[in-house]
Amino acid sequence: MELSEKKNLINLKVLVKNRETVPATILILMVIIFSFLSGGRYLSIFNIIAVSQQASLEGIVAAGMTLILISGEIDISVGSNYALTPVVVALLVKEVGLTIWLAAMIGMGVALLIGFINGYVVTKLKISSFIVTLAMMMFLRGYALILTHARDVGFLPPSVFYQILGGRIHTKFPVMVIWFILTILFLWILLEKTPFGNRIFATGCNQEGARKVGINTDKVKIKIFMIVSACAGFSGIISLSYLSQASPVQGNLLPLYAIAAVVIGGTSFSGGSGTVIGTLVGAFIAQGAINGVVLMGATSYWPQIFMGAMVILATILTTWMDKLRFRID
Amino acid sequence: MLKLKNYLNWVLKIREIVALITLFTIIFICLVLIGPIFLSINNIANILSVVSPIAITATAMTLLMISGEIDLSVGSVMAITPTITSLLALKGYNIFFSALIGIGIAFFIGLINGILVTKFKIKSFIATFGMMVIVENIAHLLTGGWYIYGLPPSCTFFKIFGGEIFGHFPVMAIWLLVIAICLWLLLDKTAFGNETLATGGNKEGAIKVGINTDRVKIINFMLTAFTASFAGIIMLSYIGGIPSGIFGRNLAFDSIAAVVVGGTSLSGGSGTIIGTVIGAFIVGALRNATLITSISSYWAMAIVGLIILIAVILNTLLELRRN
Repeated sequence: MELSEKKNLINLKVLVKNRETVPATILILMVIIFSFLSGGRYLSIFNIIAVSQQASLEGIVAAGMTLILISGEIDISVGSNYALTPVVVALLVKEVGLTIWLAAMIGMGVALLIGFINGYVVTKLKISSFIVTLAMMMFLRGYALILTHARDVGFLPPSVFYQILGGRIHTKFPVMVIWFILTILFLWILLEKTPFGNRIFATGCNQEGARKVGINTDKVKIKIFMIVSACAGFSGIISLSYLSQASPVQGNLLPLYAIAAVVIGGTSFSGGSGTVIGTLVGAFIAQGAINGVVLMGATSYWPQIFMGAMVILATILTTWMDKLRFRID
Repeated sequence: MLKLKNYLNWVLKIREIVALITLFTIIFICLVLIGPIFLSINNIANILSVVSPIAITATAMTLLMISGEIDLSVGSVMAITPTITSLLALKGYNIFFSALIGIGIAFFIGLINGILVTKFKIKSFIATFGMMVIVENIAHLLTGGWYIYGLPPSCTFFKIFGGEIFGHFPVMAIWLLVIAICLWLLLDKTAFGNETLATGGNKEGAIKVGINTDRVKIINFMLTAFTASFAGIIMLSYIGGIPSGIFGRNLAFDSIAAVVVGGTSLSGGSGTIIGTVIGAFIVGALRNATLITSISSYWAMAIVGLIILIAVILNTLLELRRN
């Protein structure tokens, strides 16, 4: 085989092997198509800001969710967590009179506790994560509604805290995008560059095998559940900072959007492999697609139909790419 | 002492023991908090009207979960069948024909679910999650957000499926009985039931023995969609129209809760119809309790979540003990 042909083969291999190729391509194609169809409105500053904000809030949760999926579990309680944590924080500030800084720390503690309980029940009591997080989701949602008597909590005393988390630079650029990127970076380093990350992949790939090699898979999973809960709580506090109020009914569809971002980003549902960078791209694709469909004049139902179809198609594509990758090796 | 221990062992061997104890506990708590009116004839009829759609869907869901899969789209199927049925009926088509079309669409959705899971190898959670979103929004699109009314409430069709006899006793409870018995026979007394149990218990082993696990799962998905659509027809007949908005949104969680509390393991391989029916009564009783006491609707979610958790923990412990 000639040298030039060999080079082509290698390049194609790299493209397919890289999990982020597919979502990156989809993103670029999507932006081009929607810009064309919306006559340029799609790439207006206003629109980009709107999409980035939504993508960031959901993307932070999706980043944590990536780890959960890699380890072979699922967490559908993130939406209720996203509502309850800011509710707790807001109530602590408003009713108990704590400063926002202290209240936020306590709120994160609550989120971590929720994650710990999820992880503990799944690993030690050996109950499916779907059922556990389903029950937790209902329980937390009910609790948030009880605490607030189903009303939003707002009118909090001003503080620079809210600017740091949910404000804007130069009145345009939303700071939460920076927090999103930082989260992705942090989790990327955790996943790819630390032994803990290795343990996560091993646990997801083959739990029995991982145990035999001495990995405490229970500990790994508990930590991952705490991470995704922390992400949900963090995102909730950011939304509190941005909206200046905490709503007990927010985050209803958050599990769907988070999972969509992860799946579209190229992480497969069967566990053992995944990419947070892909999730970053996936979050923007998910929100960008909905935004694009709405801009084209579709009424409120079509975007969600689009979303559901996208999730299914993305899963099929990812599974197919997995098979291809397997065959190439 | 020994006799007591033997008796206890025998009691614990009943698969549905957790569900039964939970049911009696719930009824007791409701009686204490709400008073004897909870078990009045009127309220029992109300409870039955809440329990029936849940139970009807949950019984087929039991088979599906025994074979190792799950279906989150049942709520939207329960919404779209009566939507299509009433739209066609309002256009002048015969109502039985319209219902047939509506149920046919549900069969089709179940088929798609089955194919996505078996041929495209998508996890059932994701596939049915996606279908749920798609179908639910199509249903919204068809009604344009309005609720549907204007169908003659006294026509025979509505009486058969949603009527009341002996005063307030809802006919749908009889339909529940019929479907539960049919599915129990299917699970317990037919080869297909065995295949379902085998597919969920040990898929590889089942394939080796020659069972077409794909076919088993697809049939179970279609059965689940059918029961969900049947529940939708029943609700349409009972209410006489379609309430706008969140019709059916709770059904998926309620029926899964019923199956799980009733003793079916989520990983598949074992479960009983009776347990599921008891589980459905638990969930229905709780929903009814929250309806008639307006304060506790927020507590309801919290309590239902807690109860599911406790029941599943107990069931898992018993399962481990049994092996």
